[in-house]
Amino acid sequence: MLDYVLIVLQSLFLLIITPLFVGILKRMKAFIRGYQGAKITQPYYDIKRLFNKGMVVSNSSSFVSIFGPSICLAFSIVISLLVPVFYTNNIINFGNVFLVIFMLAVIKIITTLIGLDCASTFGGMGSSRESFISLFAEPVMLLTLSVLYFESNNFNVFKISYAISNTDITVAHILALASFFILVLAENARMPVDNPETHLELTMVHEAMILDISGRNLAFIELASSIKFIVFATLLINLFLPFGIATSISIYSIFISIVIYILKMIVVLFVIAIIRTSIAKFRLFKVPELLASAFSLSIISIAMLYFNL
Amino acid sequence: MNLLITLTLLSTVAMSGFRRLKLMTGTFMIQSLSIAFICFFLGYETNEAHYYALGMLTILIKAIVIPIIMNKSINKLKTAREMNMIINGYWSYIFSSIFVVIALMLLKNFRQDLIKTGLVLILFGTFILITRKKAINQMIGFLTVENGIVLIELSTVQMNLAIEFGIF
Repeated sequence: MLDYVLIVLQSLFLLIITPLFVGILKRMKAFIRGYQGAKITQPYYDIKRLFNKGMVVSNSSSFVSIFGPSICLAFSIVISLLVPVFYTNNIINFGNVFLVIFMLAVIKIITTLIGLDCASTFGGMGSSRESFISLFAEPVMLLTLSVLYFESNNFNVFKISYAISNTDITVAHILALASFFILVLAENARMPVDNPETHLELTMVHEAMILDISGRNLAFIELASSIKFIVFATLLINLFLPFGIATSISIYSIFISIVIYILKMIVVLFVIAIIRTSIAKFRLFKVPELLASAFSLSIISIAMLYFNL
Repeated sequence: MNLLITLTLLSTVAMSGFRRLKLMTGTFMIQSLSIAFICFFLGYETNEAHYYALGMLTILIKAIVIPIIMNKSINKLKTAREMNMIINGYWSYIFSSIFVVIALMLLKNFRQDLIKTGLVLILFGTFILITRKKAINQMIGFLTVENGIVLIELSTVQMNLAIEFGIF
């Protein structure tokens, strides 16, 4: 019983701390580029400001752009219940890997529909680009997660994390980590694939789809996309680098595991910030090449597990 | 040790699809550095001096001298990237993964990781040699083959130092 209470608590922790991590990422980027940057609590104020604003809905839009953002937020909250954050266990029965990936895909589908809904040209363009990228990313994602299955004989996220936290890290595991990192960048519209901070029409992917949304709905969808990003980073941390995660219920181990989680997350965000400031955005038709490298890494790691390198 | 082998493999996989020449030399430098550190690690484990000598030579020649010479000659070139590869980047990544599977399958009964990694490097090097048209990229492919031979030599029975230098 205490396990389930802890899981709800850790997902609440994830939800509350998500805007803080996004703020830290923005601050790091500002620091690397050499200007001061906003406070790290700025995303909380942004969300509050958007909640107080009124909503403008286009005449040509249907129910999708009214209900879509709430559905996105609901799915992202459900996903946050299904991933281990600082506590994992061997007896939890929910949290199938494919369920998590499926729900992340649902968020993507609804964002794509929102982009198409208002019948603006940018929205349609962004939707087609997003589906083009995810067409290449999804199969590679399944391959990379099947590496974890070969390692731990389990599809449950909590059990995978528990099994890997007790074993040594192999070559295959680190290659799968690199592959998953490329996927995190590709699925969350990060730098080599998409620049999340411009509003330049030619390069937008994620921003183009939510151009027509305003007010509370914009807050919902921004929250959903940042929760999606942090969930991906949490999966990266807890499936591929799960050392230090709490596997028993005691205040000391959970405290240590929270501290280690935050440190690991800051390291991951720092790497993302460095990549963001040092690499220019790829041309759209070069993105499959990047994902092909992720594919090749995951195939190599599966072969290594199979042939015992 | 695992981390170093991973670094070698990662840089080699990344190399098989890159277009820009400077990136190729950079990743080649990372590859040679990680091989040198593998030498140092083996020397630390076995307390034998010739591993250290090999590692120092690798750092000196493959990680410092050759990349500097290459970068100098790249600066003289007009085009800094390879436009028409015989097999494009996307397919070369996929072929390279197939190569690794074949290499690991052939060496299924071997216990040592270094032999497998060495064969993988040789295959990747020949692949780069075949598919590129620019001379510098072909040179890098050849040096990758040589790195693979060094790795295989590291894991076999101990040879005379003179023979090691010859292989090097």
